[in-house]
Amino acid sequence: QEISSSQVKTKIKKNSLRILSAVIQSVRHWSQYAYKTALLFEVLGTLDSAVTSGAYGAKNFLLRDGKETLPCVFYEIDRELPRLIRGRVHRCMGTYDAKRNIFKCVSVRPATAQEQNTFQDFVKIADVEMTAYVKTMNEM
Amino acid sequence: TPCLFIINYYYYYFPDIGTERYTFNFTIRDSPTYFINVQSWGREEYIRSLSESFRVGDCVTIQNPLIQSKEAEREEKFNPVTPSGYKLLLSENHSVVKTSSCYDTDTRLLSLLHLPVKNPQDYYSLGDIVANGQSLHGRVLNLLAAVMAVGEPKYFMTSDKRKGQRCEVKLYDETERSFPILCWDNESIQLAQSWIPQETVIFASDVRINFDKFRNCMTATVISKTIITTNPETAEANVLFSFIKETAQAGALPSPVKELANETINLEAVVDVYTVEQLKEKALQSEGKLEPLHGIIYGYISTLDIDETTACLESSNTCTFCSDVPPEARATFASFDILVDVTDHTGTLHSCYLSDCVAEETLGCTVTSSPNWRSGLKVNLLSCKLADPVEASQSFLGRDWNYS
Repeated sequence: QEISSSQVKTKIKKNSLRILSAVIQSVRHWSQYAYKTALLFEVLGTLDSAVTSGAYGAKNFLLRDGKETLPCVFYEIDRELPRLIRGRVHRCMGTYDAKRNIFKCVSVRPATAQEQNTFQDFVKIADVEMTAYVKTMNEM
Repeated sequence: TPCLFIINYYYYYFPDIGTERYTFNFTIRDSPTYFINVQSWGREEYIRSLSESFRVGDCVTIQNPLIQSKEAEREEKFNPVTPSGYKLLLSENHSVVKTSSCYDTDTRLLSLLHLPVKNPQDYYSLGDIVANGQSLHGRVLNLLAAVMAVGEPKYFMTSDKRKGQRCEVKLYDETERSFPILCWDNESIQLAQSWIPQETVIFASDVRINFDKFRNCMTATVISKTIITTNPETAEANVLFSFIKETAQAGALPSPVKELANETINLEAVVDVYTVEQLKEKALQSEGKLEPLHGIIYGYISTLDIDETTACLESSNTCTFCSDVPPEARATFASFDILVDVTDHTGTLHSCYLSDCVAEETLGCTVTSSPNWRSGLKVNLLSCKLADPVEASQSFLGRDWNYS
């Protein structure tokens, strides 16, 4: 059946998931807007704790970049957390729960050298995009 | 009976000396045996309004046409071959064409719609064409085949600045699982859009066969001589209908979407980089034009719905049954159609098609997209490889946006 062009527009224009590369500070900052558009973060940071086990298959650890630290959790539901080495840079994909100050990871692995080299660029790109987005949101 | 069926329709113009005179040809039929060509000449407005007043399959009454003997050779170069030694000429001042609704149409006339104009046994199977190969290049012949998939019309500008369009339909039969037929004129494109993939059978008389050097395959083209009979009621077509049913039940056919994704796109030539947001903007701007857009997106695969995937896998160990099947037929049974979402920092493209060979190659994306009225936005991933972070960041930073 046919769909009117305005329906197509709303379907296309609807706020959809964004994946942002972010330093810990910007994870906290952009999470304020997670109620407006779904956000998933890519964070690169140094593992700064042992990996400890919690309830419901949780694995807890701390990620650090500069002075900021981010408590992380990974639930071993359908796969195990790979062996992580303290002091190495890891790449975590996940969402941030501001109330509990915890970063829920869906994927954790060591970051490649190339990823580390380009990470700041992607953070900058995401920051510019989100700044512009938030500005248009506030204008509406 | 005063009513006649339109079975062919062609519209083009000749820049005549001094003035531009337009011409519009069609073919009418009122019995299983007899049909005749009609030609009208005149001013652009007259010809345009005449050509817009009916379509193939409509019933018309023609009053006061001029009857003229035809010079068979000249006439039949560009028009359907007719059993009649005459043709009809229409003039704006003397002739009248009236269209009548299908409710008033004689049922005997309606049944002609499903009767091929050629001997129903006089056709080439697709396998015959492929087997004969290049020796058939340029030949005009008849086809009987089922419709596998209908492409969207693509618009372009000709070298003399006229608007052109093109639509590719994939045909199949017992002997070949995919054979392209090309339509270049509005009427046949409209007709093709009404066909139902994996249900419709066509008998196409006098299509031209070509060898496509670029794709290294044989193709058929609808020309001004061609008359297409949709869902013919013949014994030969019935055999094909049962074949369609059987293959559909056996699940041996790929989805139409996948079939069209294989159209000729040179990946090397795709260089434009888009963000998800820009691609959506593009799609909105070009809305209705149905022009496919090719580009590259640096993004993440954010959804990979394996449960919803219509995957049909063959075992890697060839069983005794399969070993008897030729390799090209075996490929029919292994097919993937994975729906994925592609996300970047500006948003998400939902329901992108990742079909078998591309799915196997995986990650990092070249995207073709076309606005589609039925599903909002249709995106086929033509290639998906792991992106080089340096290349991706350079591409984003190299834009005229202010990232400093």
